[in-house]
Amino acid sequence: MRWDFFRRGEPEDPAARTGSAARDERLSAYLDGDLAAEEQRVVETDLERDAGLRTMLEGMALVRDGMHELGMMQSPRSFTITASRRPRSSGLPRLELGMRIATAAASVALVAAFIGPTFLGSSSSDEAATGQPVTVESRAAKEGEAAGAAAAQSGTVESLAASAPAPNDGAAQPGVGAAGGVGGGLETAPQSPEAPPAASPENASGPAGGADAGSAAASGAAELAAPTEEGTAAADSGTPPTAPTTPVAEARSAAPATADASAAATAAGEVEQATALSSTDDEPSMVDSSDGVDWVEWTRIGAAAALVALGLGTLGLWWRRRSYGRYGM
Amino acid sequence: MGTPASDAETLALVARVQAGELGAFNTLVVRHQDAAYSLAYRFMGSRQAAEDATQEAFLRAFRNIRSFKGQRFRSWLLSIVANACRDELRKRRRRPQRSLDQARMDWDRPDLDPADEGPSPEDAVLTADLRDALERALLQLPEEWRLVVVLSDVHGLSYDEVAQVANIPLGTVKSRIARARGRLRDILTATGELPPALERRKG
Repeated sequence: MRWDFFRRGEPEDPAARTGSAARDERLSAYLDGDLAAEEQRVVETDLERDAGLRTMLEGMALVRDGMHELGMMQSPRSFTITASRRPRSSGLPRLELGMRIATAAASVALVAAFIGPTFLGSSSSDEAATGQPVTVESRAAKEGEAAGAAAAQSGTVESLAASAPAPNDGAAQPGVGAAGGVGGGLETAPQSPEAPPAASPENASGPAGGADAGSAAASGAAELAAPTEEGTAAADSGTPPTAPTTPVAEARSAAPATADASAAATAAGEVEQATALSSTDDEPSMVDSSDGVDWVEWTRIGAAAALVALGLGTLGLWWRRRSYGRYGM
Repeated sequence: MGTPASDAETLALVARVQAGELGAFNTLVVRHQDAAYSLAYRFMGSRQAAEDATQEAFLRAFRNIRSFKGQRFRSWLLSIVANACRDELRKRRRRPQRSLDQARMDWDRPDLDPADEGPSPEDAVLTADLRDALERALLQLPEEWRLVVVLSDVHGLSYDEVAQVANIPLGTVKSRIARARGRLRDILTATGELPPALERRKG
């Protein structure tokens, strides 16, 4: 084997470069006694055969010894630190520790925001089934649809209500009319924030006086899909709301103001039953109906954002420490 | 290389520094400033840059003395010097062209310290010419090769210590040292400095 002893720099041929680097690594390791016994014997055999390789080894040995002889230099001045120039301790180690703790806290918060509602038994059961977050609108629409479907199965609310004679005083029987008629709404109203105030017996027998139980029964469910103010006003006045377009709302608008309370109560009772079957509002909800803000959702978003930000910050500090030693020292 | 006794003394000094004693730190500075400055100078090739980097390294060491966990103080300090040198080199590269030219001139003609002629025993490998040639050849190496070969062959650190100081894997250390030695040999050969030195050594 012939070595190109006088060639400067890296050779053009990648294979030759690899060979040159491998050769120098073997010679350097041989000089430092860093080769295994068998490999050392191989190198010695090569050295006996190849005068050029011997020259390269001697040149490398001279360089190593010459470097050693360069030795320490005397510093041109003193680098001692005076009290006036005394630096403050670095806060980076504490910052990284704090960032790590904050990242862990954000992770826990994020997990809790996803798992917590399930264990607490809140609206997350709906979400768990659909994989979609539950909002005020979607829940109300869902319940309205369920109530509407139940009304259709019962032989239609309209036909029962339309055939009934007009009562003289629909509000005179709150125990039957209101309690039964509002059933669908009353069933959920006491526990649910979405429950409209108009769904109570007091409101059903409010200033309008002529508000019949059948209408109140329909509104009890319809108001779940209607804006709160409108639903309340409608119940108080006995006038059906116009905004809702759900099946229940249609049932309500179809019911004449003179419908018989007992017939309406029967229809509404079926609505109540259906609603009760479909309702999951037995537990406290985490949805704030007052301003339509879903705090669970926002908590998740906030925790996820905090986790990403803190995670990136911690990663940056870790990378700095890893790349530049301890905190860039 | 420190002896166990001097290591124990160094650890005692570090403990005093960690308790807030500036005087103890200055004792450590006086003991290690030649090594720190030597590394900075060999790494950067400029006296002024080496002074700046060395001062910065000692300031960083004092600021971060609490992160010293009982490893060899010399290695710990040299790793700080190496990082200060890297930062100083980056800073100098970002400076305007005039300063860069000046820096390039510094690199082309390393300002050898007159007080650093070193011992010249009769059996010394280096003549003054070869010494100058080696200093210049060192500055032609890539920075990271230069760092590891200086740590290994000038400061006498083991492969493991070099890996710790340079913050690179052990295999990379061995590879860089070998390539740096090979490149230095080739440079000295090309400039005609090596063959006479080899003859002298044989004769």
